[in-house]
Amino acid sequence: MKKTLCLLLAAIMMLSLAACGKKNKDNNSSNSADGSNNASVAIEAEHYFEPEYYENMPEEMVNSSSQKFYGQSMYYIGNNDEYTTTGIYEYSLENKSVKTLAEIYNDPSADPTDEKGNIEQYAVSDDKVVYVYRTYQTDPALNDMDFSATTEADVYNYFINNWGYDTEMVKSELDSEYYSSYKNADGTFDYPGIYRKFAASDFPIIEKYYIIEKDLNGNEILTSELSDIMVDQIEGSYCRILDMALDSSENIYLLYNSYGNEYDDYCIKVFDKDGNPGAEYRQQEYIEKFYKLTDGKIAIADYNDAGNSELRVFDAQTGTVSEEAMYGETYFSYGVVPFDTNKLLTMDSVGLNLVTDGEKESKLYMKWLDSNILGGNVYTFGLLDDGRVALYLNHFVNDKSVSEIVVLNETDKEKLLSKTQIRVATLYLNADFEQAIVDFNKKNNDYHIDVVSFNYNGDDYDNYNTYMDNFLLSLATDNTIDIIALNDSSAYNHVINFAQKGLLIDLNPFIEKDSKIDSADLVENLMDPLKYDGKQVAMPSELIVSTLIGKKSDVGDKMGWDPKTATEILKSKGDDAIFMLYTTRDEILERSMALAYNTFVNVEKGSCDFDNDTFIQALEFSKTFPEEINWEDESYSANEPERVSKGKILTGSLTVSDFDVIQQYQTVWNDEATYIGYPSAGDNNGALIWYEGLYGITKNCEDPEAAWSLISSMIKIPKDKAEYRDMYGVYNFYIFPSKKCIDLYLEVASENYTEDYTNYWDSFEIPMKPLTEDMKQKYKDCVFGTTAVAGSVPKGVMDIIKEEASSYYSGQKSAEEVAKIVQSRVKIYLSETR
Amino acid sequence: MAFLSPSVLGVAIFFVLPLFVVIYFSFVDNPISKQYVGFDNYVNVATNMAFNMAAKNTFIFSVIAVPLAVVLGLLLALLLSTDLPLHSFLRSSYLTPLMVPSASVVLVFTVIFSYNGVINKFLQAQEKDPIDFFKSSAGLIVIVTIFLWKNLGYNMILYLAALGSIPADLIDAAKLDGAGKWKIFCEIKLRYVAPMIVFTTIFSLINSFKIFREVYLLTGDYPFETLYMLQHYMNNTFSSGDYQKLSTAAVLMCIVMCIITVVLFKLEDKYASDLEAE
Repeated sequence: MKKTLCLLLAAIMMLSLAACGKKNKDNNSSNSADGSNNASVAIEAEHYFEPEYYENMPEEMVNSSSQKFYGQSMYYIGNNDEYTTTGIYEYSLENKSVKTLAEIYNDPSADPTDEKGNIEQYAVSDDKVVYVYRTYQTDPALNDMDFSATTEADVYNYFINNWGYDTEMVKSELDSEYYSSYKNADGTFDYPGIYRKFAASDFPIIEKYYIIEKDLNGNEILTSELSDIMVDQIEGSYCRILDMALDSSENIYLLYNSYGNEYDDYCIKVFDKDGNPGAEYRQQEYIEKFYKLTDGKIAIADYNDAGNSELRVFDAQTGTVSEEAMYGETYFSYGVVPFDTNKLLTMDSVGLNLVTDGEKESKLYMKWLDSNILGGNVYTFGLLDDGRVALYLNHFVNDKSVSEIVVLNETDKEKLLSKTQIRVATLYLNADFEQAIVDFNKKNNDYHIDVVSFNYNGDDYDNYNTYMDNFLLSLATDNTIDIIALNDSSAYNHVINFAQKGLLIDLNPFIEKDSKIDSADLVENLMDPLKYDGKQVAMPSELIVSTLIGKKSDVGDKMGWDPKTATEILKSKGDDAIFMLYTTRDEILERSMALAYNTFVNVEKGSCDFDNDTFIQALEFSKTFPEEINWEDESYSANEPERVSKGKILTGSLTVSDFDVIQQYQTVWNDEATYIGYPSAGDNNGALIWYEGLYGITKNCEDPEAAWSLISSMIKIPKDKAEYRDMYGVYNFYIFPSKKCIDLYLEVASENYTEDYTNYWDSFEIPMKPLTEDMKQKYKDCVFGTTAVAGSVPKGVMDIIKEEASSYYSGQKSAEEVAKIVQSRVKIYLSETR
Repeated sequence: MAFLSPSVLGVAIFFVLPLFVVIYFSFVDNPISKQYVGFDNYVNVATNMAFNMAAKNTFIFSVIAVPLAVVLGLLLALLLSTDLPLHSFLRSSYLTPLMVPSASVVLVFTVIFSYNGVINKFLQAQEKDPIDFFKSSAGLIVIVTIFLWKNLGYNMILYLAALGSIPADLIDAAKLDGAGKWKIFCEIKLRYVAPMIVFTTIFSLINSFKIFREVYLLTGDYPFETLYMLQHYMNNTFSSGDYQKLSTAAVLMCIVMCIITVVLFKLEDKYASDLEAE
């Protein structure tokens, strides 16, 4: 009995050795670059709000700054489109109307010595607005100078010597709108006037500052000049007003940056309600702005030694800042609003956070996505006098800036939870995808999409595996994830890995039913890599195809070549010839392995063969590339087109859609370009697919139709050229893998080259000619013939190859020895993962 | 039972429950779909080249390292149980490797055995070819050395304790009867130390699996084939989310360990039961 129990205990202890976990080599991998944890962010917010939109904002709000919410209004400094009118405006949320509190007009045709004005900053209270008004003019001593003898040559020489223009460029500049007021009726120019304008830019500027108080009907209460008080009066010093505030006693606080050749200070000056100067304070450390606390005191946010921001109370009597920081360290960069006696609201990309003084962690107060607000559009926020949060949004719609105000009305969270929840897991929620989610939520009232994000933004590539491990663990343990969305080129392998585990469903039935997509029109070779076991497991939103081009007389006219041939051709160009610029050994090795992976590895059988001449040649070829690029070394890329023309740089890399680059090289080579591709073993054209945005639906999804609707909204298939331009722009090389999309791209691209124009590559003139049918056909042949995917080699295999290759590069081992070791190690990897 | 319940509860939650979870995962296709597949995983793992290679390497390592650790530990203990000068100091010295963190151990052995390490520098000075210890079968020498360096001291201490428990009058009586040193050792000391030999063998066997830590730090996830151990297989399958393979391998390993333990207990019964009866 005893022995049986001991045996059982031994067995249990043995099995506890099973899950020893993966050792993270980087101890810092638990936090991403901005300090947030790289575990999934799927926290529930405490509150739910329905947004109330205020749209069709006036022109001045679109070009506004210093937005502040007070009472039931938003105040701002606005400008018209021409920036000739500046003012302080009040937008009333009750009346949905704008009131002008102060306004200045600057005549654009005014002489530089005429006084002009600007509103720098302001503060508002129940019954008044206080602002700093700055006047500026070029020193009138300019008028004492005589420019009457100025000639055309003087003006031309000024442009040439000071701004590096050539004669043609000066002529073009003078003919522009900017100098139209200097053009005489007979076509000549007022050269003395133009030269006077140049001279004015070198003359000192006289500035004056005033504090002006007005009531809310625009009647002036007080004007006080504070130039002598505020400006340091040190020669060569400058002043920049950063913020203003009013406390509960109506003292005026002014924050400004005073800087000169040898100093850069942040200063606070206090004035009483009559404009009399009071306490002063200055420090070298950055002060961003003022915050008015709920008790009426004024606080500042500055940065401590650790680089974190802290809130400190400013004492207007003594002119000192409190030693102790309120609320501890937190990230105030996006703005802070005092919410209660000891609470703050802060903002970040996820939503609003409630920070309580004395508590270490903030709580997620509300999530942008819950209210279908695009976090990236929220410019600033504030509290209205009824306690509601108001947001100011600014974003672009069809290349036009649009402003909106949103007031958040708190609602029962059940309203949100009663909708069908669709959960998306992504490494990083980019702006396009976030927009698609918000649009989907707005259009589909019965659904709500929530996001589980791992905050990987591409900067922390060394810890990429850690992010993916967390992603995979989350998928394995969280059966509420409905969609996976991965938008980096390394994601391809992981998508196939998920498919191998049976995580992803077949998207073919949805593709067939989707009226937007013609499945027969999809380009097979671009879609096939995303198939597993006959199922379409992921959908790309767009992709590019990249390759190398070579001179036809050097490389022939067929696509694809092997490293041995490439090396021989390179050698024939001389010892000082290089294969290409801006590519390292590791990169070329990755690309050639991605192209030739199926030559070395039999994935089905889990076997490999690296111990052969083909792999050795690939290693030897990669050794001709630099270990890393020294971007500081100007000689590395000096005289690039000249070297290309002489064959000293054999190939150029490009996305196949970039006809500018093709014409560039063809001109410099004086020969046709061939899409020759990256040298590699196997039967391929040397080009690689780079997927941008891969989406799949998990088998846990209870409503795959709805999930597919979101994915479908990410796919852009234009009906005609006009729609293509709207969706993709004019010079976008990304395409959706459909034949129609590719044809439309060629049509739009052709229109970019309708008539001859000249481009320049250093000193080479590159005439840009209309696209020929031959060029278009070559493009299509390349795109329709590409099957290899960038990043398709499993990271484990690539890491082994790169690790072993380094001992070959350093001369420790021969390529043959390295091939044997790679064979041994990769064999284990493949067998293990089979 | 009431007094035992905290311990029983702890064992149940942290040992028994995970045991059942592991067994469960060994019968499903993957941790996401969790479809029952019977013994398919066992067949797949047992026929998997990587698992078999790992098992073979672990077996070879254990067969070489464990007996060496047991025998050398005993020899050291016998040596230090005599009146050797500085034997107290030496006893403490042999224990210090246990206190050194694995990362530091790895650093030292890298300096000695790496391609540009001390040994290869010496070989090159003698105009001989360097040996790539970490990327060839010579790697076994390194890990056996690390294992012995780390564990000999502990075994030695256990044996010293066992040797110290032998009744002195037995040995005196044997000497009076004309028994030589070898006879005394085989007939008296060895028999008294036999239970400890079983214990150190089991302990060394368990420690032999922990060598993974050093090997992993030296050579990473996928070392050269002769250094690829069972725990590499398990660690990698955990990282890739293949919990079913991991669990199956663990269960198989557990069964083998149980068999070995049973055999050892049987041997102990055979050779030392009369001592227990006393």
